[in-house]
Amino acid sequence: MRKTTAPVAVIAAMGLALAAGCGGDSGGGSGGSGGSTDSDGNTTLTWAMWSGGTAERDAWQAAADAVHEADPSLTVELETSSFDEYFTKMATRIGGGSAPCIVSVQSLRLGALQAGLLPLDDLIESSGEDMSDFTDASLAGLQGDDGSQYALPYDDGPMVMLYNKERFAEAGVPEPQIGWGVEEFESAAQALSADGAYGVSAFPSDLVMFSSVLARTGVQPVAEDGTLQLTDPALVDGVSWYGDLVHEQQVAPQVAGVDSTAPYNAFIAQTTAMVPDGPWDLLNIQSQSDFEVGVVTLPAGEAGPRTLSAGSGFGVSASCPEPEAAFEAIRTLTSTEVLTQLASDGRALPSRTSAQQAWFDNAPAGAQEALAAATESAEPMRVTDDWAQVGTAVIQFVGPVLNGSSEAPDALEQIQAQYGGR
Amino acid sequence: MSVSSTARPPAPSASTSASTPAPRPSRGRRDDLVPALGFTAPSMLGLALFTAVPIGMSLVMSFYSWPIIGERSVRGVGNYVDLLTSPQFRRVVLNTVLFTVLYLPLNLLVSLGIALWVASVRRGRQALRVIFFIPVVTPIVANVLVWRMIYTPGGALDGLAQSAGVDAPNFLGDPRWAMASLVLMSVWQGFGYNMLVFSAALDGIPASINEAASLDGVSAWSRLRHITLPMISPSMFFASTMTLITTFQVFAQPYLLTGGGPGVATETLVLFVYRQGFASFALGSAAAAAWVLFALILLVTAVQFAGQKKWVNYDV
Repeated sequence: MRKTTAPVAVIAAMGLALAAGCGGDSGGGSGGSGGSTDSDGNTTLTWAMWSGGTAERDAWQAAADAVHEADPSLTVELETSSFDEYFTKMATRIGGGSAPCIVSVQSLRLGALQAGLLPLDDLIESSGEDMSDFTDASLAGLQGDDGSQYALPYDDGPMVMLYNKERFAEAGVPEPQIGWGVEEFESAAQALSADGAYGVSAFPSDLVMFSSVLARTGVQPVAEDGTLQLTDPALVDGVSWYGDLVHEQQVAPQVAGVDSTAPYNAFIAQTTAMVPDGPWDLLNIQSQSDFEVGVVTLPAGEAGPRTLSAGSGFGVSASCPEPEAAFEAIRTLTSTEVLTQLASDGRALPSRTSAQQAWFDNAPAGAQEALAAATESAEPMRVTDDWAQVGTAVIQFVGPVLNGSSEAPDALEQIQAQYGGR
Repeated sequence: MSVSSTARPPAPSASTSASTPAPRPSRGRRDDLVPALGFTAPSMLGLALFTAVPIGMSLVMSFYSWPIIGERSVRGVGNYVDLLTSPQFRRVVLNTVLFTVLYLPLNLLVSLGIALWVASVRRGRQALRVIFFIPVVTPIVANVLVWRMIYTPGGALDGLAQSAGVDAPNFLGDPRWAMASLVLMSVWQGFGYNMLVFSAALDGIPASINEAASLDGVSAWSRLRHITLPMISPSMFFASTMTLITTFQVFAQPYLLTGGGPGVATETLVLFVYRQGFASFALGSAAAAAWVLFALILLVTAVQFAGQKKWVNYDV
């Protein structure tokens, strides 16, 4: 009797313990995660970042090493994943209480992560960090809806139009000038569309489509008070026009599937001659292209030149047990030295004016002027907290609008009905 | 105490039954129980940890509003009511059923057809089976990348159509074609498995039966209809049941090829569950949708089992 009871009881007890452990409260990260200090006072911090390949990862690893060089008692362990995956993973990790200490965040996706991040205002004040070197737009993009700074920016930039100089020359189309308008753009795109090639890449992803829509109509998908306004008549008009480029004017190739790198791949493969893009991709695209890349502002509509800007930076997770050390690491990661190094490695346009020259030295001729002009008319892209889902729905439902199989008002109304009520 | 009493042999008559003679029937069984439990403990624990607990948890979660960050609260059947009254969810279920209705017969026809053809080939039979099996063992992500290049405008199919002087449709971007394109790609990816199952069954049919029938002047078609198909019907039942279950769970193809679009044309149940859970972080709603899927699969499988008596022939 006793012999049989014991193992059964042990198994039952273990099962109960497991069930209790899984069912127990794990939200909030009460124990802290992502950083630790050993008995000698050496602190190790984890840093999660997105990366598109080995070259990019190496550049971030060099930045992590720079933190250790600046303060040998700090060690930063880099973890990378792809951009799309990164935000899904990070929200899950914050929810599960296992967030890294240093959290990378993009301005469009701050809302989804804000609850898991530490407001940095006090740390900034006590550190005496000179914030005036950061561009205003880069700081503004990483402020939460409560006005607190949640991350120090490393890059920021406005959407501009990249174009293939050789295709323009072959088609006998004069190269676009800063401040050009929608009509010039449409006639250039038409002249460039022939023999299976197209004038421009169109894709319903947030920055690509809505920057062109904003430039034409002056309206963003999210109002200044933070509500989704996809059914705003001017916005609907803008999206209809954007769709016409594909199925009416046929100056952009049809959208197939959900691969958001498709517009850039088409540009690099010379299937299209123009693509709207931010400075974060510019040097990468230039290095992959066999042709000379030109940079110009987005074609302006009646509302005058407008464009969207976005940027990224590094924040500290609310569950980090070593917030001061993490903040010190972030300061080094966004220092002029590190940003200059990242810029000369061909990464994004630095958020610090003191580090931007290294980036412009690498950039194609004319990029500096075009970006300066675009920055003047740039506004940070406003988003909702559930932007990740809205963005996915926009790709899903506006794709058919571009292809001509559904109408812009219907598609936008459908998304608005699903997400606008929150 | 109750635990140990249930572990005992139920009745003395059972343990002393003469049909299975054992050296020490009644004492031996009880003594074996401890080591037996010890031996099964690892797999019992594994089963509890990785199967029973998650299943139980998901059932509990489906009755909660369970965000990934923030407060949880009991919702009762609210998640189920929301799902069953949501037009989007109904469309998702419809898409899943549509995918299954298109995919299952096509998969069985193609795999059976190719299995029959391969069985009739005299030389290189094994090589052919290996070739047709390759898509099954290739990672689906790699397959999808290739098929994206085939389907995309300006891709392989479009190029082929252009050279014939017609314009191919936008297979993944056109709502009328997207589901059919997914089904076609999935059949290519999946038929090899069932083909192998059918091939094994065909090889198991004694050659003498077919020989006797052809000596009696039975036509090839009648031999297929009255000998071959009944003889492999258990395999067909196995293949159709297993394929049906995995078909209801289709995820990778729509996730990677169309993202559920255009619109909701290819959004399937598991893709919906994934999005609810890991894009919207509504774990309660995701769990509820997963249980709806479970109920659907259970129902259809039960119908299949009930129907098998009519056509599956085990008397060989």
